[in-house]
Amino acid sequence: MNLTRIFLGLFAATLFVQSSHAQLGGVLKNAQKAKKAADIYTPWTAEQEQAIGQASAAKLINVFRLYDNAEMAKYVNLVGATVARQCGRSVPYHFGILDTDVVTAVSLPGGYIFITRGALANLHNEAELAGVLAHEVAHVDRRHLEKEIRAQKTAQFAKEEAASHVPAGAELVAIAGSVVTRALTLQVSRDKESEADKVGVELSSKAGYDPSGLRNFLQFLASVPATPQSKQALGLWGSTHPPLADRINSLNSQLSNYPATGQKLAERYAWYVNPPAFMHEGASATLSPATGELDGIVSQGVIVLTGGKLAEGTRVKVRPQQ
Amino acid sequence: MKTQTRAGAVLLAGVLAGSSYGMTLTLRQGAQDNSNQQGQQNKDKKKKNDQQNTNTNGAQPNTAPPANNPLPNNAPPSSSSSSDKPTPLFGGTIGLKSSRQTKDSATLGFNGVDPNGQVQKAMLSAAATPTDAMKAQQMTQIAITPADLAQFLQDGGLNPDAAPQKP
Repeated sequence: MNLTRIFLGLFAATLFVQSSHAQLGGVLKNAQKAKKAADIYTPWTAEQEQAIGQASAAKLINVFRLYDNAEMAKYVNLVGATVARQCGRSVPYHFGILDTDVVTAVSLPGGYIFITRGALANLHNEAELAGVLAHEVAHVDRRHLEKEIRAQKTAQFAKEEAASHVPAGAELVAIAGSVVTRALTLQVSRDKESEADKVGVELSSKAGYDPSGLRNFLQFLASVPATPQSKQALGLWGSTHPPLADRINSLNSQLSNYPATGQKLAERYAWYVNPPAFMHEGASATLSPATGELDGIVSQGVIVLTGGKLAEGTRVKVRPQQ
Repeated sequence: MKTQTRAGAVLLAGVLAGSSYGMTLTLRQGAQDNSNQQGQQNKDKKKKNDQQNTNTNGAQPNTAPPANNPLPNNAPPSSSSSSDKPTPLFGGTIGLKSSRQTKDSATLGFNGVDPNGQVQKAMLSAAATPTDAMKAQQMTQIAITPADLAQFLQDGGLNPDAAPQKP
């Protein structure tokens, strides 16, 4: 009886050891694969990057739609090109405007960079736009998203392994899906975000813009009162970026090394990007010239006065009604 | 003697098993610790954000005056332009923007996200349509000529020199 118990104990112990070793082996194997992914990382070729970037751009457009305004798109491309030409890696950058009130900007491999209509409506000058775009250009220049995709788990690694050629068809769709899902749902690692902020400031400054544009915009976002509207507008920004306060503090430190010079270009920004065009159709607006208030209503992207009269040369403010 | 040997074998096996069990536990515990730590960090982060929102409500945005603002050649008359300081759109005021822009095809809304501002899962799983692919392709065709860029840089008083390109 005792002998049977001893044998049973030995048998159970042996099974347990094997099970534990197998489990440990699995963990180690996964760790090795992840290390392998990092170790043998070779950047996507220009062709791979373009194919994946364009397919990812199509996927992103599917989610948010593209704001179809050729003149404004050209302006955003001009500002983007101005900062992008200050970075080293030769990438054919393309900038697009996403048709949503959400306030965010997204960069994809291959130089496909998007800013939303909601972000444009809340920027105050060209230097802020340049700061945001320069941050996204830095992500592309340093291949941040590509590296994060590569460092994903083993299944993803296998998928990326398959892309050692220029992917196409279903494979390309799957990779683009992974890229966009990652860009829209996961937070970029803090060190990469920090690097993009740092490089972005540098690019803006080299281009001749006020380098504090990005910091100023982040400060503005931090000042937005918490309302259901702002929660919906900024939810994506919050879930894919580190806390604003941390970034503002880091940028403040960095900006102390830059001279407080550079162009802000508020009027040129206003000329090309027209916030009333982004206000909801039918929204009421109050124009407040120094002499008094006038009422208006948003129609077809412009504010149509419904009461009062503006004298020539009058300067006005617009206060959207919430 | 035989019984002692068997007992020794069982003891050795038991020790080995105990050792492995300990290692497995350590790994699991470590993972749990990380998870707990991350959860705590997230809570801390949320708390910090909440505090930040509370602290910054009503705070004024950047009020620095704009620098030199050269306008394009076909700039609008001064009657419809403003150099007022920018203030928040959400619940605040914005400067009236003079522009040739009018509403084109904006659908005006929070496309793609739920009330929490998160991307809808259904949208993430949907495949891009041929129209989406065509629009992505069209993005590459926005023509920025060197002359356009040079004029843009000159008008804005920006740096006309580019950084040297790496291969």
